[in-house]
Amino acid sequence: MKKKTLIIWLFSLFMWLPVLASEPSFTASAPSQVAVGERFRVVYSANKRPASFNGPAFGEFRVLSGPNQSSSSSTQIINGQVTHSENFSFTYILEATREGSFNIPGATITVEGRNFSSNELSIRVSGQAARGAQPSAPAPGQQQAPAAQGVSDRDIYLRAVVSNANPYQGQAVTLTYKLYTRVVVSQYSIEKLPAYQGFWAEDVTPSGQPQVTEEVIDGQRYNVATIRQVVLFPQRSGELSIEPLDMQTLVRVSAPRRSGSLLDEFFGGSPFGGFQNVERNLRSNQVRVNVRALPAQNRPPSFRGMVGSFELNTGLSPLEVNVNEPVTLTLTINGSGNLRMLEKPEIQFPANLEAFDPNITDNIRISASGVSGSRQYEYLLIPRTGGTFEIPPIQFSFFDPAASRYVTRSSPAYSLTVTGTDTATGEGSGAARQEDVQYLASDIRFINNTIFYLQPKGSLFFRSKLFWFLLIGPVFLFAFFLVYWRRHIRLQSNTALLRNRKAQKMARKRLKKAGAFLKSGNSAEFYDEIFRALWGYLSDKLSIPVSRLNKEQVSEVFGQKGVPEEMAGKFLETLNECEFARFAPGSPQTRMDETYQRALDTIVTLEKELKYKKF
Amino acid sequence: MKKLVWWLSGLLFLSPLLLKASPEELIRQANEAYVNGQYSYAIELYESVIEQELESHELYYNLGNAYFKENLFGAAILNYERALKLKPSDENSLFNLEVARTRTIDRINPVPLIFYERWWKNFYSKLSVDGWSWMIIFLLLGFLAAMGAFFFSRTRGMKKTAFGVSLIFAVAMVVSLAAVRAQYSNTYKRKDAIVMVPRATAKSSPGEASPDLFVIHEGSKARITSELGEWYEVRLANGNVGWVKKYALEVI
Repeated sequence: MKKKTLIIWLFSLFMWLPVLASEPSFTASAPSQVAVGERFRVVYSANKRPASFNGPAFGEFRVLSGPNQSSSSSTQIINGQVTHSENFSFTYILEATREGSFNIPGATITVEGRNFSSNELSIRVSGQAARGAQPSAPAPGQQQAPAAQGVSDRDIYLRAVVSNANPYQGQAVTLTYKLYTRVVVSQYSIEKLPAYQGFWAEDVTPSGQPQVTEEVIDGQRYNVATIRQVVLFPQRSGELSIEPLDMQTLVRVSAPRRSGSLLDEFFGGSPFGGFQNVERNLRSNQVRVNVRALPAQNRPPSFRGMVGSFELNTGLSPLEVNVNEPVTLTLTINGSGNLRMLEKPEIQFPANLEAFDPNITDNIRISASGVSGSRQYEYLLIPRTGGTFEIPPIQFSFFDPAASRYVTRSSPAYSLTVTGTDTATGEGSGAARQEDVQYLASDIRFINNTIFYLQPKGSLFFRSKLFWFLLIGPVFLFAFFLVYWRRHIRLQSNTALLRNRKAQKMARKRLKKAGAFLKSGNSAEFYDEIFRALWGYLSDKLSIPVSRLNKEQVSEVFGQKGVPEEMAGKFLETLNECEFARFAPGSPQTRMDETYQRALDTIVTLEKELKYKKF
Repeated sequence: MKKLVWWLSGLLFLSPLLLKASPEELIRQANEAYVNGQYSYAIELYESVIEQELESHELYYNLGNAYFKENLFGAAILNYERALKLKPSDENSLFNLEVARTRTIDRINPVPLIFYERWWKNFYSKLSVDGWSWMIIFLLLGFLAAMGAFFFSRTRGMKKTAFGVSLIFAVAMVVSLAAVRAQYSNTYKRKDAIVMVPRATAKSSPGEASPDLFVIHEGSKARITSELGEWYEVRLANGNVGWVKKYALEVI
């Protein structure tokens, strides 16, 4: 009986075994120590299929992913003993954000209607500022360690080198990141690129695998790989610093023997000597560049910040066109320097020469030695009127850092001859199109560039002594002259009047004398005296000197004075007779008497006539 | 020996006069400086000529141009106005004055004149005071010549013509006398001034404490109607009246 009950007891115990073995368990596991920024897993595992899973609050940790559910089951037969185990796991990937010790409360699951809580986790976050990133998926059969072990800073480091630590503003500087290693790097990735503040950057990293060279530093042989190359153009002067570049590498190191199980050894380690990939974060040195400002003196007005060495080539074709036909002005700037920052040159095109925005063709090569190539501007110009257009020389200035001076390149001045007249405008061909004069700018007129007369300040002619003198002087002068002239006239007219009055007396005197000659029979003297008497009378009467009298004038004057024609005829006849007789002496006595009488009559009648006709 | 001493002492006395550049030479140099773009130097030279108590409308015009190029529009306007005072019809001065006025801040609309006032003002502004003075002298001589012709001509027709001509001269002379009077009172009897400071505040009475009435800016023209201490009473072209500090204004 005793034996039988024992057997039953044993059996019943045996029957309980699977029940005991399948008692639900729920545990949480996580590394106890991580670094700030490091990513790590928290795994909750249960041995029974849970009906529900409630994750905990992770507090200071950032959840990157999860919960990711996975399950596995295994059946083991050891010495005929069959064990069956199932495993359900919920995995979180967390990132540590802050230094310190943190607790993660347990998660809960519901299994077969009962709630189970996992253990609490305590994680210490250390301040080692390693910027961890999700490591690239490790190759199968490789295991990764959270931090590098057994790799020193002398084994692998990153160095940033500038080609010129003291460049001019705008001068190209090549920045090279070199990776120095004495270990095998299986993988690398650039984590963070610097912003290159104060620079204009062009990436010139050669594509493909980085070239590896060997260098010996301090007796140690290093493999040097150029990871990245950037051409920088400083945009401002002063001391500029370039932020370091962050990089993550996986370094293959020989794995230390760990007291792991054989299974671990088998699956985790390399079967060929035990290597493992170690994550290592690298940071380059900070580079300081002291940028020199461009000199302010001798800076040409056409300077627009170009630094380097350039040539300017221009061309205008054709040089002779008709109106409204296009002309191309090409302007090529080639050389090395910050060509990308080239500004459109300012060209003062003459008015009536329409210029369109230029067509820009770039042929720019960027390499570690800088930027070189050419940029071409193609201007389309259309002359709208005939004539000759002068395109002034185009100036292009740059700073030559090698010579430390400004250089100005100038194009020749072009003269464009445009023939023909404007015909294309408007439909009515031949209709003259007039334009107002276009004022290009409003400016003052030019100075009077002559030597001019200066007068004493504030001197005024008006009301000056000279003014009054010139005003009053002529009036006085005029008045004086007038008075003088009047008197003169009066005097003169008096003599004439006297002579006029005495004319008959004089004539009679002469005639008396002639009468005496008549008696004595001196005919020549007689006629001479008669002649003189007549002329003298007329001269006195008309106020005309004897020397200026002649016969034609006499008849004219008589006509004016209204003396009858027959009177004039008689007078002239008598005169003629006297003249004739003077040069032909020996005339008879009777004739002389007659002439005497006639002369007397003429004078008497003339006296009458002229007395009534006063002037 | 004595003679030599006399010569030397004479030279010593005269040398300052010899060294002093003639005004013509100064103007030549100033014009050259202006042409070369050295405007401030040109201003210096022109001003040195004016300091010798000499003036001409060309001189003020050139000086105004130099000030304009130096962006001193108040001084430019002042000098153009001075040039126009000597030659009111100078086209270049009028043109440049207009250009300079466009660069100033204030736009003061003058009180409009009645049409005949405008005509009369346009007429008498054609010549300066001295121009009208010479015109009067010329007309007087013409009048006297015509009178002389009237007295000495013997025929009736000649006398008639001469009388008519002398009458025309007489009327023209009377008009010129009126014009010279108007021009004289317009330019010399009243005082116009230009604001020379960037901004000047006009007060209601001569005193810092009195309230501000309006603000006038550089280049504006104002007529000085009265003065008291360091204050001028000014009247703007639009009729506003206020008291402005003397240093802010420069009389044309």
